This record gives sequence, structure tokens and C-alpha cells, in this order.
Amino acid sequence: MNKYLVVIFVLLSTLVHLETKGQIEKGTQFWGGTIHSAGTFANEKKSELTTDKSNEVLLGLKLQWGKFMRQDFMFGVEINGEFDLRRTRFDTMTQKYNYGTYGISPFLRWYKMVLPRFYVFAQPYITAKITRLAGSTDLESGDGSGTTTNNTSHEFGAGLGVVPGISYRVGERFALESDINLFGLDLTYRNIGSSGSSSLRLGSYLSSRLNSLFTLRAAFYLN
Amino acid sequence: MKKLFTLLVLIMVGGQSFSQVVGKKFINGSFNLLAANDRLKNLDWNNNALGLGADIALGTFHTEEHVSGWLVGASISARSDSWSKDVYPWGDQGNGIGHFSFNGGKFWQFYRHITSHWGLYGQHDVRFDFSNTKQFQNETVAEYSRSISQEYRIGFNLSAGTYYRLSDKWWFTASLAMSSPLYLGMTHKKSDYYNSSGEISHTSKSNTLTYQLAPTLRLPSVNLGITYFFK
Repeated sequence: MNKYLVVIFVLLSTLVHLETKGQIEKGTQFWGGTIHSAGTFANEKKSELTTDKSNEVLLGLKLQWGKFMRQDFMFGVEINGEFDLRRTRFDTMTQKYNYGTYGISPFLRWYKMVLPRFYVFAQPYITAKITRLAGSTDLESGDGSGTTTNNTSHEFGAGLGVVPGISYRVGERFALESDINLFGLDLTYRNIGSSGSSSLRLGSYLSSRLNSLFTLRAAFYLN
Repeated sequence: MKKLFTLLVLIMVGGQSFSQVVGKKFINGSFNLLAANDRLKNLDWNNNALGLGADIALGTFHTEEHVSGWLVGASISARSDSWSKDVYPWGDQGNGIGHFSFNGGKFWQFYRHITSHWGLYGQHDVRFDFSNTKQFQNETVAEYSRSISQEYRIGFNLSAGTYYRLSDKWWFTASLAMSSPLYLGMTHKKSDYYNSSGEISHTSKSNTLTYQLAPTLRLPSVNLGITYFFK
């Protein structure tokens, strides 16, 4: 038996058994973010003369910042944006549709370590968002002149809720996180600017089934 | 002293060494079969559907934890529908193979051996997919369209799973979560529109480019497979 091999094994096994500390210290700074995007670019040749074109691009961004006020307790703020841009061109008509929503959401988060590297957290939040919908239709008539119809509306929403989540420490500072939709509670107020109508909605859900889609968030814990 | 060292080493690596897998090649196969029969008695409708799929992976353990290799797969689905006799304007053209696909790519796996018999692994792969789909659709009561589309797709996929070691030669595998965070696809579709006398009234062709970037995990999606180690 090679003695060096044994020394290497001993060193390796100490490394393997070194676990990250259970608690997240006060003063730790948190950064988290996620992005998703999807796009479709299509053209359809209906006959020799007409071709329809339609393009759509979706983009969503979320950025979170937080600071640990106490051990395992964080105050944070999320800003998010979601955009949907569509262009459709038929024979003599072009339709444009732009959707943008911007939100800000302060939150609190309590962490509990359940396994080494593996945390669960509960996160109560309040949220405010503004949505802008803008559509336009261009119509070309036979003589080359055209008419354009525009309509724009704004929507304001505010709510509060609570969401549980999980966090897995991949490295010393880097973690992968996901909010879990097992239960939730939210109160949303919506005001649709153009029509002047408003609504108040209280929603809650409880499920024993995990949502089949988890959005992962990249997170950094810096101290 | 020597015995003590040996014992120490054995305990530290979890009872049994996995060094024996290093350099070994394996083949992993998984398949799926779907056979379904749907009936609506009062409408005298009877539909048989059959789907077959197989995926094969050839890999090599470069270290006790790292594997890389190649994968290929194919799937096919077919149906037969009792309404094809007199209800659908396209007759029995819709029966038979409606969809088939091929895929191939390169994969990388990382293993965490927990005991001498089971462990976990994570996988990422880059895969090319080709699929062909034939569809019939009613446009009006007597008119219909026939669309044939081909999709070419390249994507980056993630999966994680667990294995159970039956013997040195045979392992069971189960992949537990899957995700396609990145893909780019091109679809070419040709649709023929038939009038009530069964002649093509017009044809449309479309090309669609799609992409997706989505850091999402899908659960549950369990895929069982068998691994065989070559000598």
C-alpha cells in the first residue's frame, strides 16, 4: 500500500466532509437573478402573391438584492420586467402589439437549513406593477394611402403574498434557488386606466402537487 | 499496519471502490411504448394509437465520476380511426404513421456514488432533433387541409437521475428531472387545402424560426433505463 495514496485519501475525505456552515451570517449581501426569453419568426407563403409574416419576442428579467438583518433573516427588493413584442403582417394590414410590465417587490425571507447545503425559506412580499399595452393597426388601401389605428392602455396592480422556496448552495457563495408553488396567498388591485375600471381580487391556493415547472434563479451570498 | 490502511481507505470511499469503472464503456437503453384505445360508444368512434420510442447512449467512465459519450434516439407514432370510413372528408389518409423523429448528440455525466449500490448523476447534452408530422384538419364541413411539417432543432438539455447497481455489468437508471434551457428550431410546413371535390384549391408554405432561453426544471419526468458494461 502506497503511503502517499493514503495521505491523499485522508486529505480528500476531509475536503468531502467539509460542509458549509448552517447559518447565514448577519450582514451577508444577496444578489439573485433570472432571465427567460423566447421568440418565433415565421413567414407563410399563402399563394404566389401573398406572404404573411409574424414575429414575436418575449423577454423576462428579474433581479433581487437583499441584506441579512439578522442570522437567517433577510430584507430584499426585487425588480422585474416582462416584455412581449409582436408584429403581424397580412396582405395589406400590419398589426403591432407591445406589452410591457414593470414591477417592484420588497420582501422578507426566513431561511432554515434542512440538509447540508440545502435550505428552505418563506418569503412574504408586497408588490406593485405597472403594465403598458400598446397596439396599432396599419391598413393600406389600394391607392397607397393608409390609415393607422392606435390604442394604448395602462394597468396598475398591487398585491401582497407569501411564497415558499428552496435554495441549494452549489459552492461557497453561489446557490440555485426556486420558488415553489405549493401554497400562496395574494391580494391584487387592478386599475385599467383607459376604461377607468378597477378590481380587487383575493386569491389563495394550496396544493399537494408540485408545479411541474420550476424557474431557477442564480443567487450569490457575499460576506 | 497495512491492513489498517486498507480498511481506512475502504471506509473512506464508501465501502467499495468505484475505481473499477474507470475506463469502462457502457451502453444504456431506455424505451417507451404507448398503446391506447379510445372509444365513444354513442358516436360509434374507435381510435387506436400506438407510440414507440427508444434512446440509446454509449458512454465511457473517464474517472470514477465523469462520463462522456454519444446518444441516439428515435420515436414513431401511428393511429387508426374508425371515423376515417365515412366521417372525415380526407378518408383513411389520416391512418398510419403520423409522426416520427430522430435525435442524436453528445452527452456528459457527473456521478456521485453514495453507497456501493446506488448513487446520483447529473447530465447535460447537446442534441440535434429531426421530426416529421402529418396532420389533417377540417377547414369547413367538406373542405380540409393536409399539413406536413419538418422540424430541425438543436438544443442544450439538462437531466438528473439515480442509478442502482445490480451487478458489475448491469445497472438500472432512472432520470428524475429534465430541462431544455436553450434551443433553436426551424420548422418547414407545407399545407395543401382541398376543396369539396377533393382537389387542391391552394397550397401554403411556411418557415418558422423559434428559440427559447428558459432556466426552468420540469418535474416529474421519470425515464427508466438499463445500463450494460462492456468488458
